[in-house]
Amino acid sequence: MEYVLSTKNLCKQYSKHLAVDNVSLHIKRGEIYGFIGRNGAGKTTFMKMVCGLAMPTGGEIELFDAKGSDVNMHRARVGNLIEAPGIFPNMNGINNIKCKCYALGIYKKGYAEHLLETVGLKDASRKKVKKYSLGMKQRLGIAMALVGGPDLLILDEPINGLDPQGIAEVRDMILKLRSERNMTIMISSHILEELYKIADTFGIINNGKLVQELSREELSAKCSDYIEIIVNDSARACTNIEKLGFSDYKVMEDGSIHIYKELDRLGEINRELVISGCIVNSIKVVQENLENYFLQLTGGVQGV
Amino acid sequence: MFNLIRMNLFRMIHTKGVIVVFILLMGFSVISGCISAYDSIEMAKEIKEQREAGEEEGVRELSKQKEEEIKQKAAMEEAAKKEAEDNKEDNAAYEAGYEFGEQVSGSVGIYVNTPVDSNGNLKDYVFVYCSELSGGFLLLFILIGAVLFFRGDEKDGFLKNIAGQTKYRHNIFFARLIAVGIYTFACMVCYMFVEYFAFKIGFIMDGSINFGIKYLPEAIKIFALQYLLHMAFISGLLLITEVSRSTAAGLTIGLLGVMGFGMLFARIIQKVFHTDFDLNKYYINTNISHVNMGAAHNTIISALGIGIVFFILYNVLNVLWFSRRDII
Repeated sequence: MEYVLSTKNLCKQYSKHLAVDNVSLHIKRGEIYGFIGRNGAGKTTFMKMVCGLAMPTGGEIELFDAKGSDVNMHRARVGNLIEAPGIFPNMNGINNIKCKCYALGIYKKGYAEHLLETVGLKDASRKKVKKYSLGMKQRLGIAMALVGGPDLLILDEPINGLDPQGIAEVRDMILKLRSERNMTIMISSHILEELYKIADTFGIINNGKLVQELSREELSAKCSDYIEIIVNDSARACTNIEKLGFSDYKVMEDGSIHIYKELDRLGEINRELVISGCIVNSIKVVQENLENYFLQLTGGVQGV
Repeated sequence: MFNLIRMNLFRMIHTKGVIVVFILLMGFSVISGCISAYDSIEMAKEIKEQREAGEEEGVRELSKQKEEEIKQKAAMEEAAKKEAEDNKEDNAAYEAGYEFGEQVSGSVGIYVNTPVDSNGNLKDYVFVYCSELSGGFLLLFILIGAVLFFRGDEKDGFLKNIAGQTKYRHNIFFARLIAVGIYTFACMVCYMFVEYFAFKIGFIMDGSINFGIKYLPEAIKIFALQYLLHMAFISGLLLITEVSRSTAAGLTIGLLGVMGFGMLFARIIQKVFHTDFDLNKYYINTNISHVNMGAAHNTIISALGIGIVFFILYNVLNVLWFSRRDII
């Protein structure tokens, strides 16, 4: 089984609004899948459909090799934390966990305590949840998602509203779950740099459409620094660049040339181009980061 | 399914609103029991004194005020008594010679008649209890707890944790419904025992009240039917709560329903369409008020039919809705 989850042209329509538009996404076993998108892009709706909380209006979901109505039989293997943690504020942490344990038929003694220990809430297990901090609630939400030992964990904005320490704790916990339990994790977040630190594969969604699905290596390549050269004659410039031994370069649609390696040879390239008669309008090292790349794909800063 | 029922019962005993309503109901039963007991004692004393003072023909001529009360009561119960007399053989209350009270249908509000004999004595508790069931007081409390409980898991977002991981989503609905059923049953039974105990306390100073063991078969029949009607009424409210996704809507409509505001709608229909068709007869709460000790056979059958039809209808609609909708 290559993919734990794959969707084919998955759609969700709310009256006239198409929240998820033909999304075909693939998550491999044991990987952390980063799901990126601006507010209202369709991330949560997509995740809800995968978890069985929302009904798709089109397309299909393949979960653990099961298709169609058989998918429901495997949904017990999908733990989720969608939006805010679903917990009873008047119960304490341990009773919240027990509540879900009973629903799934888990009556093992000490199970709830063990889960709370996993997420670092052992000392607060008897405290009422309404007295928890935001970070503690998020961790309890993750513990709830872990009840039953799911093979696929879906976390929607799990680090939303957390302080840097809380973010680091959740990040470490996710990495630990993957390494210790070989759990497949799909995680969405607005904090792109944090997602970049843990995810193996990225899916970028915009206006309900999956804009791009790429591996960490591919994203690293796209987000690495490069030399941008703007000249009057791109063809002649390329000849000279190749003469200098550069092969990893691209000529963009606007005529600019991007060189991705040996950025410290900028001066040498400039000299060679001038000697060859090219008029160099601009030559500089551009620092591309994940956020810029994301903005570029999703069409600007509005709504991010 | 068993797991989900257990989870719901666990959730129920940890839901503050449900517990508060239950405690209030038990408190109300104690107060109600004590007040009824003292009222009954006072009434019996008054009757005795009046009789001793040489007044003629007992209760009707005790005083002008008493006479008025009895006349009013007689008018309200006239129809029911006629029906009851037609069914003498099946009528435990008639045989017992009690002035059983049927609740007032056709007016807005909640009324409970305390069944007393011609001497003003309140002897068998089952008559009092069944009269209170038909009064709608218990329903009022139970529906608040049921609606608060039913939507509690969705309101707090807990439903998101289990809705996906449960193979058949309708099982979640049925487990909730069964939990509500257990809650309703527990409220009705606990109310009975607590109030009976309260009556005992109330009568400590002067006599005692019998439970009415010999009327138990009749009382169980009434209890079962009232339970069905209560569950049908609550199922309707749960449907409203579920579709509107609003606890407030369910509670408001429930309270108005118990108080008989549906009757106004029935009257509007009669006036607008110039018809004799009485929609009021088909309301669950109207039937709740008609089902009492000594109720006519036809009344029982009609209430049973309405209870079954509405219970099934509301829950089928609710399960269809719940199984297909998105969990927010």
